[in-house]
Parts: sequence; C-alpha cells; structure tokens
Amino acid sequence: MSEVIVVTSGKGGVGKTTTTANIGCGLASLGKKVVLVDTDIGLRNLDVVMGLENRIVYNLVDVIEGNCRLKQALIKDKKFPAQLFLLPSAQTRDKSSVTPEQMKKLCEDLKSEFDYILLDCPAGIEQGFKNAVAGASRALVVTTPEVSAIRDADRIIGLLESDGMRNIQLIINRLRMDMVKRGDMMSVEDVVDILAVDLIGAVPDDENIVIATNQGEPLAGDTSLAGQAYLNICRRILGEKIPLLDLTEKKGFFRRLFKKS
Amino acid sequence: MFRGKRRNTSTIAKDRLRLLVNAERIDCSPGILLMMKKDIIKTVNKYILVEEDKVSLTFKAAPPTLLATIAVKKTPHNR
Repeated sequence: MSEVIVVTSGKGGVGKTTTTANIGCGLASLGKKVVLVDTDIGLRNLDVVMGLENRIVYNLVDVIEGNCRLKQALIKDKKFPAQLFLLPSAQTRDKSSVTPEQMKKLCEDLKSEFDYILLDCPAGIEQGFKNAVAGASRALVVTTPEVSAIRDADRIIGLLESDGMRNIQLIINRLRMDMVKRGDMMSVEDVVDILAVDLIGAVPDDENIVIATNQGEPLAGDTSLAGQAYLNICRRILGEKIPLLDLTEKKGFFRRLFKKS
Repeated sequence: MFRGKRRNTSTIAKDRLRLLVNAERIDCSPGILLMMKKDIIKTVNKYILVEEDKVSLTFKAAPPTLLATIAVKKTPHNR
C-alpha cells in the first residue's frame, strides 16, 4: 500500500524542501522505498539539498512529455541508493507545462514502484500548488512560528480542505525554545491552537540543518536535535505513536559560559 | 531589565493572528470583523449585560460556522 504525500506551506522559505529531503531520507532509513518529486518547475531546489544536482539527465517535464521513460529520470540517492530516489524538476520550463491530470497520472505510475511518494510543492497557491496537490492523499503543511507563515498556512489548509483533502497534518519548523521560554516566540501549542489541525511534529531551529544543506546530505536520523525530530516525524507517518521531542538544547555549563551571543 | 513592562511579543503575535485568521476564514477584513464584534456586543447588551473584553468570534470551516463566545456579567440573579 503506497501513499502520496504533498509537502506544502503557502509561504516560501519556511523549509518545505529541507523537510521533504529529510522525511524522504528518514523513511528510507526505516526501510521504505521512497521517491521525492520536485514539483517546483522553473525553480528546482530539492536536487541541491539532496546533493544530486550533478546527476540530472532527465526531469519531470521530460517524463510527462514522453521524452524519456520514468525510470530513466529517477536519480538514486547517495546514502540510500536502493531505497531513495529523486525525480527532479525542469529548470528551463514554466509551471504551465504540467497539468494536474498529468501529475495525478504520474503519481499513479509511481505508486506501483514505491511505498511513499513525497511531492515537494512550490510556494504560492497558483498552478504549481494545484499540480502538486492533485495526486496527493495526504498533506504535510510546514510553517514556522511566525505571523506571516501561520497566516499562509491557514490559507493553504483552507484550500486543501475545500479541495477534499482529508488527511492534513502540521509540521512546525525552526522553533527556538529559548525564545519560546522568554515569551518572544509562539509555542507549538499556540500555533496548533490557531490553526486547529493535527500536529505531526516540531523541528528546532538547528544550525546542523544549514551545515547538512551545505554538504547536500540530509541529516534525518543523525544525533542532532533536528535529525531526531525528523526521524520522529517519519515514525509518526508510519503510524507509530511517538511522544513529542524535548526541543530544549542541552548545553553544557562551559559552552553556555563562552557562547558570545 | 526594562523589558518587564513589555507584553510578551508571542502573545501579541497570537492575538493578531487569531483576528487575522478568523477574518480571512470568512473572507472579510479584520477591521470589519472588529466592527461586527462591537455591533454584536452592543446588540446583546440591550438584553443581557456582557463582559465586553471576554467576547470572541471564531470561525469553523466544516460546516462553515461563526461562533461567538460571549461572557455574561454576573448579576445577583444569574449567579
């Protein structure tokens, strides 16, 4: 039984692509066969986050237009070559080159090969969003604890609901527990309270994410706090009941003493 | 040290968002929502005394419903 999941947010820059890469990597590490589809036509990003940018030959639009077979366009991941694949987006085309019906068909085709099909949705609510959502049966809405991102997340949730999407879950990204404690950042509870949607996980603002992206290696499952948070989200996707991670950074006395800012 | 009197900015953000999100869910501006809230308070106040700062409007999507939570002032009769 395979599942098509769209990762979306409305607002740009909240971490959709990073989330997609890490959840894909985490699910693969848990033994699932996963394909990541970058649906942001014209502005592809998932390839660099995965560190696979130099291996692209064919892309999503090539597959849809029949210029190549589906399997020719799939790129094997470096870390999980048997489990994790990327279908990159086209860089030199625009969003109108794909229709929602074509995306639905593509997702159906991928279902026969993979346990999980993760669609990285472009920012915004236009064509690209409609394409990405068309074939999905589950949506992960990514937001940060900021007013603008939450407002857009609420819009997206409304659009998904009116589109008939039943399974919508929230990921709160870039939480800073020090700021939450000071009362200068909305907490997980605050955000869930406003959006009134199921939470599937919270990810701390962790510099390891930047480091991992620099290297083109997702960190899901490693010892970093963010890596653990992503792996927990993956387990919850698989249906396990995992309590929320304590996102408070455990800093040693000396590290705290010498930290400048 | 001087921040003591400042309200938590997360509370400010939450209040702003609640108003904004509720307004957008029913497709009207936050200003109009505030006007409606004032009118509701005024109207209800004609019949029952209302705790004006304890009135909230929320919107639920399915089925589309506007919920008004209106706290009523305690009087010797409704205690």
